[in-house]
Amino acid sequence: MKIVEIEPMAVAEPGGRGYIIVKVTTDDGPAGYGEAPPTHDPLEAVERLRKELTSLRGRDPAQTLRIDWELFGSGASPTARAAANVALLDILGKSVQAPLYEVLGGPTRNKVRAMAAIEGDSTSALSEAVLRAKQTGHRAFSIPLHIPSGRERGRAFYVGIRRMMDLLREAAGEECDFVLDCGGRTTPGEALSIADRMEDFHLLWLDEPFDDLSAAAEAGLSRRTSTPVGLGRTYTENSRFQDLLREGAVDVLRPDLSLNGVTPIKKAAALAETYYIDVAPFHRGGPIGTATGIHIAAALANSFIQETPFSLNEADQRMRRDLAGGWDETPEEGFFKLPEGPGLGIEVDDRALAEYRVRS
Amino acid sequence: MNRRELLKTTLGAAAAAPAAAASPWRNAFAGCECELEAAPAAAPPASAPRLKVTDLKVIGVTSDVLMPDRPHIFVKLETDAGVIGWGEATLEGKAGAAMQAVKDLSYAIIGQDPMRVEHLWQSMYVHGFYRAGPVLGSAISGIDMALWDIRGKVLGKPVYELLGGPLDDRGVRGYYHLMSGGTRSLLPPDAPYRDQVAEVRRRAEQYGVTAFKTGIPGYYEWLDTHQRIKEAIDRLFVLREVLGDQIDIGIDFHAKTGPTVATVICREIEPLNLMFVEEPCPPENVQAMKRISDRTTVPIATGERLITHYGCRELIEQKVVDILQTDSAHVGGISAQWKVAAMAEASGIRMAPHACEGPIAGIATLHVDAAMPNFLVQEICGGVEPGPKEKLWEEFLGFPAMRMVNGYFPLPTKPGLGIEIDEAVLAKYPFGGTKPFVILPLHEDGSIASP
Repeated sequence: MKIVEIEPMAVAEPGGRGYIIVKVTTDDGPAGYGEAPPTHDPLEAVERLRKELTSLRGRDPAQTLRIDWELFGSGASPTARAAANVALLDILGKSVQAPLYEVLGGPTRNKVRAMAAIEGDSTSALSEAVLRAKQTGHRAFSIPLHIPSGRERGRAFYVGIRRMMDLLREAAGEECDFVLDCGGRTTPGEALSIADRMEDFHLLWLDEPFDDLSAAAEAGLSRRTSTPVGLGRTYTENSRFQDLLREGAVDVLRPDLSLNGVTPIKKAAALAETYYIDVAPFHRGGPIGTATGIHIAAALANSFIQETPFSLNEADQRMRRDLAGGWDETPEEGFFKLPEGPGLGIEVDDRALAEYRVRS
Repeated sequence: MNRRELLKTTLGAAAAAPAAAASPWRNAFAGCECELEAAPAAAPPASAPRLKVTDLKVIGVTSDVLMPDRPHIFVKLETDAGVIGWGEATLEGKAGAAMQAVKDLSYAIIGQDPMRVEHLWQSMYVHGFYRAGPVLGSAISGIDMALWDIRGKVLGKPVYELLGGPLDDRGVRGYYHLMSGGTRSLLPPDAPYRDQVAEVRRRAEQYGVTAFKTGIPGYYEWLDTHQRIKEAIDRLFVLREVLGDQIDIGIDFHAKTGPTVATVICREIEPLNLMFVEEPCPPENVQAMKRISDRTTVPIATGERLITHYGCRELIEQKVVDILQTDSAHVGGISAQWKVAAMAEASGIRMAPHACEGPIAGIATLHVDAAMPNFLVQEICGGVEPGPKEKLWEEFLGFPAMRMVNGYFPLPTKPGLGIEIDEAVLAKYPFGGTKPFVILPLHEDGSIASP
């Protein structure tokens, strides 16, 4: 079996969320799909991915490690390598007629805990979105922290966060869980003030309080709070995850699916396992990414939850379903069912791809 | 109250009590103060397995041509689909214990879906309460390999392909032991050391073998004498001189030394640019190992006695060694060997897995090696010339197992581990009991020396 074509395609949901789907076609075997994150210029990103992945043409798709090694050597971006890794493993699973989690050694569980990444710029908007997400079957929610611009992080800011989170829990119910997403925009000191106030709220974790600090600086937070800390959304090297673990800086590893792919996340999980730490991949892209995350979670012993973006816009939800050939990302009572088909277990619909494709 | 009445009373009480108390497991926890409770019922992963393990067999194999302390312990899993899986749990000097440990794990394996290797590995390790140790580690290893063998056969792929390999078309680079197997009979036993090494070099060049390992002479106390230290160093200089610069050399201190003597020797052999010095001190103390590696430029290797990726964590975290040598037959099989390699990779540590037991463990390791970006070299306890053990392995597997071609072990091409074994052939070499580790040395004063 040989790879004959690599086609990255930018798609956009009616509500605006965009991402790139990478289709890898083989001569006498199945096609595989991967996903790359959106950029400010999707068509430029498509061109870049096409160039970065052109060397895959003519290769045996089973040689995932060697291909990744060569992509690394050629200076390909982490997003290109991640999308290729997922697409090639999708092909492998389809060609051996087994779900990806089974190829990887799973399943380790019969369902995968789900989390909705909520959007909204006010407490009432967030509250409405949480309730809608709950109606669809979610029981865990990642809440974006709105950080005032400038240096206005005074008492009102810290008190307001706790009040907002208390209101959300009251609205959603005690059976619901929350992640508070700092988006990499607080300092260790500010994050500590938030974490301190949130200790008896029992957040699942405080997410990405900062990115790209040294692991030693990052460890300053979790050394002084019982609030669990999630980090690593921007990291593309397992040595960075290893440093977080070495420094005792982290309670849950957050590798971004679109920056790391399946194999690197499996390796990060092996590192984390010996520190009794779970992995919960970051994901704000499309349904192919969500399916990938579910397979990873079902293959790892130390996975906790897979997030997926939650849009209030029904047209967005419909598009995601259409793209994934009818596969629905909606969980039941907080858990995703395991996909049953071979590979990623979803049949990407080429007609839907054509319909939602960004062409100019 | 007779037994029937007692039963009725107990059942009546249970019916009225909350659900937890009604659990048939409740009594199992009586008398334990750790407050264990019956777990809520959960469906196992995968609702409709396509096959199930129906039997787990442990087959001990003893032969005069094997080292007496390591009769091969083969694990055979049978499934309702007719697919067979083979693994190996050989443990030096602890054959009986390892065989029993495999059998003790039947509860976790028989009736289970063999495709879920990670789940079953966790079940053996975590549910076992005692999470590691060489006996349990070897038992888990043998079962894990057999599960991977089945997975590969069901999916129609060699194990290394399921792991994303191979990374090298030539196969897996290996090294032999300097004087093992048929090598010893090349020259009379009283031939000078130089002549023996020269003969090995001649054969190595003829066959394309590029690396060897040997040990240091004798046994050492934690401090030792000028004469003994000089003897070891002089021997290694002769070895490099006769083998030349084109052959890579690993030196196994075999934890015969402690950190003090090991450091003295390592410092002085630095000019030889060895591939590695192995186990310069015993494996329990990471800080002691670090005292050696901090003070020498010789690459330090260790790991053949480390169990699971958990057992390697501190060495990797503390940046102590350059090379890890975990053994697939002890570390926890293919699953754990892969995880160790992944952890090592993030710290720039290379893998040179140990293999000094039987052929199944060796071949299982080749599959993981082929998928390690940080792979260095694969051991096999055998010489540049095959001996009677290699003939026996060929009888077991039908091909010259773990023999290199041009310095590389060829990769199997069939699904799973890629081997077939006839149980009737193994039955010709029935298990002959447990023998202690191959040598039990004493110092000249009669005190215990580390073998």
